[in-house]
Amino acid sequence: MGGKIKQILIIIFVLVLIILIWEFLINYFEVPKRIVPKPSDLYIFIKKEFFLQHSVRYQSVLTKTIFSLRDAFIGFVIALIVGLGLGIVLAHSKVIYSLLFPLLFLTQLIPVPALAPVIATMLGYGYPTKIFIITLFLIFPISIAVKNCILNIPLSYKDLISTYSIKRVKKYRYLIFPSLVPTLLSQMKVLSTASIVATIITELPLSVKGGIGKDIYNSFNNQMIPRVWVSVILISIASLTIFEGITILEKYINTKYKYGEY
Amino acid sequence: MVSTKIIEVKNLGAIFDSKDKRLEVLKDITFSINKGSFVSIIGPSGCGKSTLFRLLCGLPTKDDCKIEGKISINGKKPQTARESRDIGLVLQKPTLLEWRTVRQNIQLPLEIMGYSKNTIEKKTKDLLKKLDLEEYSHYRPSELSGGMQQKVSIGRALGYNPELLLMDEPFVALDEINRRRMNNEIINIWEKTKKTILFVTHSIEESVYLSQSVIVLTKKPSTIYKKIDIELPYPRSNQENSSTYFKYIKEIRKYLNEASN
Repeated sequence: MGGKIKQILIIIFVLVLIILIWEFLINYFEVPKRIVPKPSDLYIFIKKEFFLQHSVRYQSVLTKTIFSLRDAFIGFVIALIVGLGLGIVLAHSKVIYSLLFPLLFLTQLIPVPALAPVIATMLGYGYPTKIFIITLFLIFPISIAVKNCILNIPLSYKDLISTYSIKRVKKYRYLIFPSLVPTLLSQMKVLSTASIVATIITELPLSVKGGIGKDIYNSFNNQMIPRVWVSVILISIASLTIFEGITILEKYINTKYKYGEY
Repeated sequence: MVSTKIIEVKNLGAIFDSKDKRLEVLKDITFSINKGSFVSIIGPSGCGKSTLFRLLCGLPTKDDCKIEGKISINGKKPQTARESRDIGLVLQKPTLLEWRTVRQNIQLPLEIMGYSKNTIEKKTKDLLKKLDLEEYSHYRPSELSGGMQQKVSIGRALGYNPELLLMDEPFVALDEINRRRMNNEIINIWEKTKKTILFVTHSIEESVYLSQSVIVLTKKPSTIYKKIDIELPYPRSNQENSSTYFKYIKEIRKYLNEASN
């Protein structure tokens, strides 16, 4: 416990130190705000943004971040479900695997900003396209991880369950799904942050309003640099918090239930 | 008339025939095993014991494996026998699920087979008592020794009361003392339950210690070299130093050497 507190204090100390050096260097070299804002500029923006009254129509950075996080979550859940299903199919059919693998791999090779217009011309520039692209971006790693996990379950365990029942559904319920738990948790950890990145990038070429990605882009064009910085910091804090949350969940479930251990 | 044979194998052959190579693993294997008996199979390494074991269990073999001949378990095809719960399987590794406790591992086949909750509880309680595992019922498999783990796996196989127990070198990973302890346990279980046991092993001494008869297989393409009846009374712990006991060991060693050349 004492070690943990010490670790936190060290982190706080380092952060404060970075902020002080940052403030000093910007002042010393007289770097203009439009290039790099000082921490005090960010503080002024944060005070104005979060602690002053705004008109009803005003959308704060926080509102927009929550909007993007919601879409990232929707994409993440869909990708998790579809990726799981796809992984199962890929593990059971070599033909489907050889047909789908190149397509899935392509989704990783082509950057989202390049892929988005292609899909948008087919599906439109609206909300469904945004969710579709986020999902598409995330499906590859999860489906491949699920496929590999299923194929790596020792044959003796599969044989054993086969001697109890020939129904595939039983094999899934008692062996495969419990074996997949650690893989899914570890994938959730990676995908949670990837889904936020995908959401922000996807917002740029599309005409969906309300996201933080679009807001960063617009703020940058309007030279509202402290707003850009605060948005980026906010998104980073959200990503880190979600990542840490899933890490704790992963550790708890893996330690307590021992799924996927043989 | 009710057959006394539980396993009948006639002219069994298995050939792995792919584009690159053709490998004959089993050739013209014929034997039968009476209900309630304890029979061991022994053979040189890589002679196809595992293939024979998979075929007897009705488990799928590789796509390029061609099977000849006939196997009958309790008058049924192996797969049908497996589906009608005639076969209990104990493998080389205990294959226990770490996310289930000892109790839950024993309950696994019963849950899968859809037994009622009351029946599952009753059967588990009986088995835990029979196998002296009551105090370990809430342990996870990794908290047990190798021998105890294998005992749980035997309990799991006995849960649904199969007629036949197929055991594939179940004690291979154990040290001598634990191996002998488990040998005694398995004889104890066999005498209590009157199950038929077909035991695959590498150990000549173990085969003599346990079985009523020993089948010696040749090297690939594997066929039956000899079937030796071990006419020694149980418990065999009383026979271990007898000259007859050593005579059987010597005899099987001789056959195994001949079968390996």
